[in-house]
Amino acid sequence: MADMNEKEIIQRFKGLRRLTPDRDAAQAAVDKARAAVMQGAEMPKKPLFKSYAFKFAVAACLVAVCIAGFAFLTNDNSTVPAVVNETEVSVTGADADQVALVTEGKGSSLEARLAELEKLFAAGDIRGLLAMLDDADEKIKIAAAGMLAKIGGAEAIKRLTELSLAFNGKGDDPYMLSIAEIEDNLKEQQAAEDKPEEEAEEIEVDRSFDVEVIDKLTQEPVAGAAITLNCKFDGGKKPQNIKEISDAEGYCLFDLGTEKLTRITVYLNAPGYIQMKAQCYDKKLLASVSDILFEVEKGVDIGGMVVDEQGQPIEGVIIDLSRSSNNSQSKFAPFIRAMDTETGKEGRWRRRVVLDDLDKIYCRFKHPDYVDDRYSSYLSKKFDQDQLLAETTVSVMVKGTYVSGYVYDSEGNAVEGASVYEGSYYQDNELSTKTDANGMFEYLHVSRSSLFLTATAEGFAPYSNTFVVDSDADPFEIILDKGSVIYGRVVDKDGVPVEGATIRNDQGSEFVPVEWSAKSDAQGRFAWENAPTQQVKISASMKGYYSTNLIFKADSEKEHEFVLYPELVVTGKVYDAITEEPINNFKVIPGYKWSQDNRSLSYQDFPGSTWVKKFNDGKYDFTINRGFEAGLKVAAEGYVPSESRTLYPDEELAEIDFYLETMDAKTKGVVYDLDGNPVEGAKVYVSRPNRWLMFENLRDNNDQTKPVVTDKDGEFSFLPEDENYVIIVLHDDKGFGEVYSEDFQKSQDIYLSKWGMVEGEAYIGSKPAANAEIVVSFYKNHDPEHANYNFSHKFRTDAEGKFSAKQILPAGVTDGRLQIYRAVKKNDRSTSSVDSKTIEVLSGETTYVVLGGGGRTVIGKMLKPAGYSEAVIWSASSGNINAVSSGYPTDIYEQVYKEIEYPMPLGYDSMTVAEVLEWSQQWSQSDEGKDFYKEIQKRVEELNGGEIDRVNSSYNAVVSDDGRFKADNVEQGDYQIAITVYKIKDRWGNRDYNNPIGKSNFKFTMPEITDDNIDEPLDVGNVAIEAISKFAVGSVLPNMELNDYKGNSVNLGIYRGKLLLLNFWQLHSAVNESQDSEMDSIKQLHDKLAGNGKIEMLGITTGGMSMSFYDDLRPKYLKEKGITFKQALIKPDQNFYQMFGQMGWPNNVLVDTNGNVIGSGLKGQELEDAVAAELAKLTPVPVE
Amino acid sequence: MDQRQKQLLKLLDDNGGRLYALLYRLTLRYDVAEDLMQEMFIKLCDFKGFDDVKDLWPYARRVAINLAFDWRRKRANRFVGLDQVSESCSKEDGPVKKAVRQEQADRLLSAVSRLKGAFREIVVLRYLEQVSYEDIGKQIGKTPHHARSICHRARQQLRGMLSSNGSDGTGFGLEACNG
Repeated sequence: MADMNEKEIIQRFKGLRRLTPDRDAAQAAVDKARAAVMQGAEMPKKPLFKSYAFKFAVAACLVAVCIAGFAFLTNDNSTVPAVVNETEVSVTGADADQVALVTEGKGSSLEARLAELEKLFAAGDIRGLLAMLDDADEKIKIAAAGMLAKIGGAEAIKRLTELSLAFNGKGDDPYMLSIAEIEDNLKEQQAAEDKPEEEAEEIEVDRSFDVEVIDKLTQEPVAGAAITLNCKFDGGKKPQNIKEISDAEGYCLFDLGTEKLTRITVYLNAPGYIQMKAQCYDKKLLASVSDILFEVEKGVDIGGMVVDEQGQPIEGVIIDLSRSSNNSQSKFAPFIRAMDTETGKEGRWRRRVVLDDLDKIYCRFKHPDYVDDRYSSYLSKKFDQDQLLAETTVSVMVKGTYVSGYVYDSEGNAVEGASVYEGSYYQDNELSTKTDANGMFEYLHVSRSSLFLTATAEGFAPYSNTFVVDSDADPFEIILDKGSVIYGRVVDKDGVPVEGATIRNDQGSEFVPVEWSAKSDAQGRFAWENAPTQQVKISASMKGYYSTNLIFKADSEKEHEFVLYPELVVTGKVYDAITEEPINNFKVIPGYKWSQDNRSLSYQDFPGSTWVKKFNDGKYDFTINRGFEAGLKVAAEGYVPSESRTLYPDEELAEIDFYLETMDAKTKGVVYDLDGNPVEGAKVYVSRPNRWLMFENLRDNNDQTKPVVTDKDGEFSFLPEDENYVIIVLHDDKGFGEVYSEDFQKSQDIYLSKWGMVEGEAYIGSKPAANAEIVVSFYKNHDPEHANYNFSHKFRTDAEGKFSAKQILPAGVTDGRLQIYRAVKKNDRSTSSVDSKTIEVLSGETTYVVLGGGGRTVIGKMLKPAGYSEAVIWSASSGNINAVSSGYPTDIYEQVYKEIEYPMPLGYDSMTVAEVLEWSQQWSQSDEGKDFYKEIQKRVEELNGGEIDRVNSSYNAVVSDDGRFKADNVEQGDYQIAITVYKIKDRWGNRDYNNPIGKSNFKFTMPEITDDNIDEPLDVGNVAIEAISKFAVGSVLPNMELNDYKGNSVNLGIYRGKLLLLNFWQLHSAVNESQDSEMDSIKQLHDKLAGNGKIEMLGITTGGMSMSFYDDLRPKYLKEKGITFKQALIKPDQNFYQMFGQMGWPNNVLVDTNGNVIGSGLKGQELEDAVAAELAKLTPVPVE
Repeated sequence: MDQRQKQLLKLLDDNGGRLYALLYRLTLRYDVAEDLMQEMFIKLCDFKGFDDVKDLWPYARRVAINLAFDWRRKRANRFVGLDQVSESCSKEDGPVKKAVRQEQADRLLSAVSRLKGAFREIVVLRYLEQVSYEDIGKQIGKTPHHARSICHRARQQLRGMLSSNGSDGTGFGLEACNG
């Protein structure tokens, strides 16, 4: 026949619709289903009949049998109607679709009761049947008993037993037979229940997967998009690739089959649009995944050129553009596919991207003959947007330095096949290599001034160190030795060994970046052979336990014990505090104290947090297996979140119910512009107290808080997480709004202020600063009660050094800074600030500002401290060129502090120091307090004979790899170059502030600046770096003089011949929990050592110039803590840092009998052990 | 009696006849429709996700559609004896016309059962149950527009299936039953 048309198909369906079932059949089916449902009430897991094909007729037969049986028993020949139930099925509705069932029972008294019985049976009404056992008529009773035998339970047995006892009819006791049948059924039922519970049968639904493609801009469907679905299956089934094309409606449907999926990847290629991809590994999600929506974008072309240092184009540069996405495994969301591209012969590249993504796309340039651009950064940060769009960007790739080295064993033999890598553990990057037969390794192109290298080889301990890159220097030498053996044992809290715990070493920046792991054996033991000789941090973890870690240096004799506490399971329910009704839907957010020093728990409820668990049945259970302390917070819509008490690792089980207060809060608002028109598309950020929002060029820099966007009526709604919040509204054109929760509750209308504008020009010397970065930033003071935010606006000057920026936060006084990139080869992240000015930005107004231009550039070269033999990584230095002022009038302040009486809080004597300090903090913020400080300032100026000289011009000095430094825009005057050079702390090249190498103290004068000399740098020549005396281990304690609290001199030299423990502390410790407890442990140590004539303890704190108030508090605090050992103050005219170098507070320094510093940064058990070890050395070994 | 049972009994009272009619139209057999009806309610009694179902009637209807097509798939013998055929056509239909209609209906359903899951369900909801695109969208969690798109494509596929086998198989013109 000819092809059917679609209309004919619809006609066929109409034909099918005309098939209407018979009324009786419908009634029978409904009754049968009803019986099944009723049966479900009594025996939820067991169908009424073993085979449902066993028809409802059985029930009718049963009735007939019962009745027949009764007739037989009673020899009654009266006829009993076989079927007493008549059902009328009426068809209602115009389309005869709905078959409504109306049932009416009718007949004489006995008939009616029998009919009633049958109905009860059909409906599975056991109670009704039981009631029928009380019928006066034995026939009814027996019939009811027969029915109960089929569907009754234990509840029927009692009454049936009574009837059985009373039964005196002929033949078998029908009641007894019924009881026996019920008991059989019950047994069967019990057996079924005793079986391991099977999964309740799921209702099968076919798996299909829809892909919808729409244009993001127009929201119109996109036809003709090629969609490839790649599925991986559980089990042996081969991965499948299915290709489809989206239809005119933008849809495409795939059949996923019935196999379990382990991964699904969707590739989308729509002509004229940017390619996209979506991927899902999450098994839970895969089980339910049914569709995905791709919003495709046409995008724009960007591009540029890559050249070498001579300006020649480079062909074959891979431009790796990867868009950071929020695509996590637990989500199934589309993202833009990797977008690699390559330069052609002309060195040019081009790629299509989404314009809004420029600040989300990482950019990295790779070429085998050049330094890999490892410090990839966002496109928007790396390039100017206009240049990207015009495809005029120029990127320079450098050849870098050739670096080689050798790896030897301790006997000088070459180690072949050793892995040598930079940064973290061996990765396949360009700075990962292996040594050859001569133990040699090389890197062809290195752009860094230093490398943190780690070498590992089988049978040797790993070794890490920082090496200075210098093309003229000798090859690096790395010597590997056998290292140490670390022994450990994992036990539970009762000391029972834990087998199978995972033991790992931490590869954090302070530790050797080497991968090692082990499992504890049956005795809980493990060993790490050839372990690093440097400090290690090792963690032990095991399912069901808290994980634990220890930091120590390998010591072959000691077995380190790792104690695992069982994880803590918290359960409970959540109620409405007023009604005490359960709240079903809520989320539980865990909070952890990650270190002993944390003062509060850190709740893990950042956006996208996977720590948060949702519950929907009014109760929760939560497992905690980390953190020194923990807590739970429960949040439910419309309620104020509530926090639990503190939970400790040794609790194991806890039951905590939450009672939540309702949140009576307005959660809808409208955004208007200044003219009162609603603003569509404004971004509304709702932030909690104490959370920082950071905006760069009006975008949330950390992508931490998702804004809600106002609709066409300017409306928005949100769910506040807390009663206190701030609402920040940003709209690119209309402006800025900020409202605090208390004001929002009064009025939900938010009016935007127009953005401010900044224009100006920038100079270096007399020349315009072309293509320099200008930063306008607004830093809001930290305020724990309200949300905190920073705004920074970054833009560039043009070729004439001019700049112009709209959309600047109209916050009144902001801070405008001109920054110019430092031209160094290291990377383009280093910037040096040339000039900064404080400017006022007003709503709707333009502020004009001229930056730079007033000064000259200063250059010079730093020299290593005399006698310092190690290589200096100059870039790890920081410093300023500071104007020399007449200085801070220390003596005047001291005099004023002595004169003025500091107010004391009421009840000072009965207050703790912590309470006094807290009171003082609050008082200083009060009007009275502010006046007090103004008064001090006035008095100081009076004594000084005028305003304090606040000339404090400071110019940022940048130091390049060879020690040369440079500072721009230095104006006429006297200056001091204050540059401190540090050792490198970690593999990231961060400065180790505890280990300064030296400091400059060089003075120079910038002469009068004229038109003739302004563009000529002032070369100050060589600047010597002076070594800093410091308390580094290995240094000698100088014989310095300090004062005790009475002003008497204390000379540190007098302690020679004894062990000396210096305890550096601060009054501030009183309000810091962990520091406060450190004072307790110092006191305990002192108590232990009391009477031991071999060690002295000396407390040192900064006295400086301070008010008498603090002079009183210091002894008060020591008294509180029960500390009785000698105390000294650093005198007002003493510079702590010059004396002791830089160190963390509090600190304990151990000095041996010869004045050598043998330990610093010690505390707790470590300190006790170190002291005990040193004391043991001083105890003469008894001679027998 | 628990809450679930009350809901299911109400469903039976309100829409039991309609569900049976649907099952019957999809299976063309009284006995099977009756069995499937009971099976469906037993399954609903035990269904773990029951509490998540917002609107029971549309949900039950979808379950019925799936059960009916499952049965179609599993059934080994696709031959339908005339004794099992209902009194389907209007009273005026003669036995020949009846047989034609029956055969056509069976062929249509066989074709529908070869559609992909979502297509099958949506086609039945739309053309047999005459549910609006809007409501279909709500029930299956898609846009009305999407439902329409699926119907359109399902019709195209059905057209291919019903035409590509050559003869209509009945030996009778379509008009025979449409009048």
